Amino acid sequence: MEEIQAWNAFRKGDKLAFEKIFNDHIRILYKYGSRFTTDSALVEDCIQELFLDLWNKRDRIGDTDSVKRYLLGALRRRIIRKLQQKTPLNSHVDTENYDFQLEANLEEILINSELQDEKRRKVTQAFEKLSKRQKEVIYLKYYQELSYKEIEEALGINYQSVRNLLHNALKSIKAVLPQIINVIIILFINLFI
Amino acid sequence: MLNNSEKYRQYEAEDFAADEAFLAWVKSGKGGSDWESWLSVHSEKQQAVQQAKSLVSLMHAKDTELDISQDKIDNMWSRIQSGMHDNTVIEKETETPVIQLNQNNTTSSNNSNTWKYAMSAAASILLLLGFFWWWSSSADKNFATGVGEQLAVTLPDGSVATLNADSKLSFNEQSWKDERKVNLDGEAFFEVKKGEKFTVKTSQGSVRVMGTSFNVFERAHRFEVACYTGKVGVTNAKEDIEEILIPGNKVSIVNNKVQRSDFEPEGTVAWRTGVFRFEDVSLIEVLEELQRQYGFEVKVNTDIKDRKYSGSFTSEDLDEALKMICLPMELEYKIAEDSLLIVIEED
Repeated sequence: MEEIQAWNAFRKGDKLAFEKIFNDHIRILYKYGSRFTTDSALVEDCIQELFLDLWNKRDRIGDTDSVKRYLLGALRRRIIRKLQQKTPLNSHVDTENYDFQLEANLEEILINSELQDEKRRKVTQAFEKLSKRQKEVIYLKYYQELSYKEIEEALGINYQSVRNLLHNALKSIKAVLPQIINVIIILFINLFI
Repeated sequence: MLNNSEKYRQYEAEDFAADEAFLAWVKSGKGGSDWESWLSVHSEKQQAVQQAKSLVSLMHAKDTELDISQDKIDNMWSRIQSGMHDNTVIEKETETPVIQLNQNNTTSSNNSNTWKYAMSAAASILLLLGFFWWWSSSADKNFATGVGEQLAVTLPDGSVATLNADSKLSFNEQSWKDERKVNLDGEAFFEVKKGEKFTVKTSQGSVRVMGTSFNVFERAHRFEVACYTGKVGVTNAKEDIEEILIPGNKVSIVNNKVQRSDFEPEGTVAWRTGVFRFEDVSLIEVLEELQRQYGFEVKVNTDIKDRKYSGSFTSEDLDEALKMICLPMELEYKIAEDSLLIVIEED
């Protein structure tokens, strides 16, 4: 595959291949990073450092079956680490020391609903209640379209945890959906009766 | 025909929404006719599928506001380029201290001439002292590595010191001509150019060589030197022990107890290639090295004080590294990626 070839060429010191990897991924990396923090300078710094490290340590970097997964995972670790450094030192490790922003896409689904505001509020609330790990899995699955295997590697949690996180997230969102959907389906059926 | 069409009969909306084949259909229309014909047979699943579609579209908010401008991209790339090395030598110079001398413009007309002379003499001396201090300290070069980093430092004579993670190295450029001496805190591999005496000073002892390559490890209570080429002289801090090493010799001084051993010198120390080898080393020290390489804190919920480890791990894959350490020791581990924590307990 083309991207794997570029990766292997970069590891042998090919600057053009390295530039291609940068250009191919910079936008998704920036978008992903921006979900952890609103500090865009921090995100840019982390991406810069990530690529600098990749180049300067290229002889020690292994092969990968997914460049995108590798970069997303590496950026994630870097940002979380940096966010932790920014907060004052605690004697104990703060496990929840980062955030992940993700909002529901309400536009497509609720556009002609009479009860728009109420429904919107419910869906938005349900989304806010998701844990950040659930949001991360959703983001990597639906935005970045990674496979479960890739998500497992990017987040460093096992396959079953990834599936469970997503399953529970979808279930809790579904719980606020039925009324809306029923309305749509009833309307739909009415057209045929 | 849909693969596994049987299993879909049990599916709820959330199962469809998480199904790779279903997503491929919703997102790019792949397998559309299969799904439609399946649905016409299983009409009881219409609602679940409709819900699943809604779920999928709910999950995908627009993130165009997070787009980065081309200007910024170009900027980042040029900054990355300026930091790209063809080899791996990075120098971090200490900042030159700025001397600020307060000039006291005493305008009092009552000042006698002697007072003025005394003041200016004092100022001159201060200035000279300041300059001397600046001159000598500006010649101090400091290098440091963080967790998971390595750094190759080229010394003024062309010798190279490669620092392992979480280590510090310093030397004085001014006095280098008179004495080749570096201070080390942590671990480094040295490739020394032939010449006058070369000294590595640590808080636990020092190493003297002429031209050779060797590894120095100095952390906590362990001071260990391994000779790869040439001849190496090792003394402890009190200077009451001196050991001479030839290639393949290794000496460790722990609490003033000297232990010599032999190893196979394979050109360079393994850690420089990202492999961390241990032979009969306390498990605690092995886990400390893991901490330095990965930046995870390790918590051990069992007594490992007296356990020794022989084996290796690499700096590439944390999970793999933990397997290499824990499996032979019959320990179990958990990685909490978010909190950068590893918990180790009995299997």
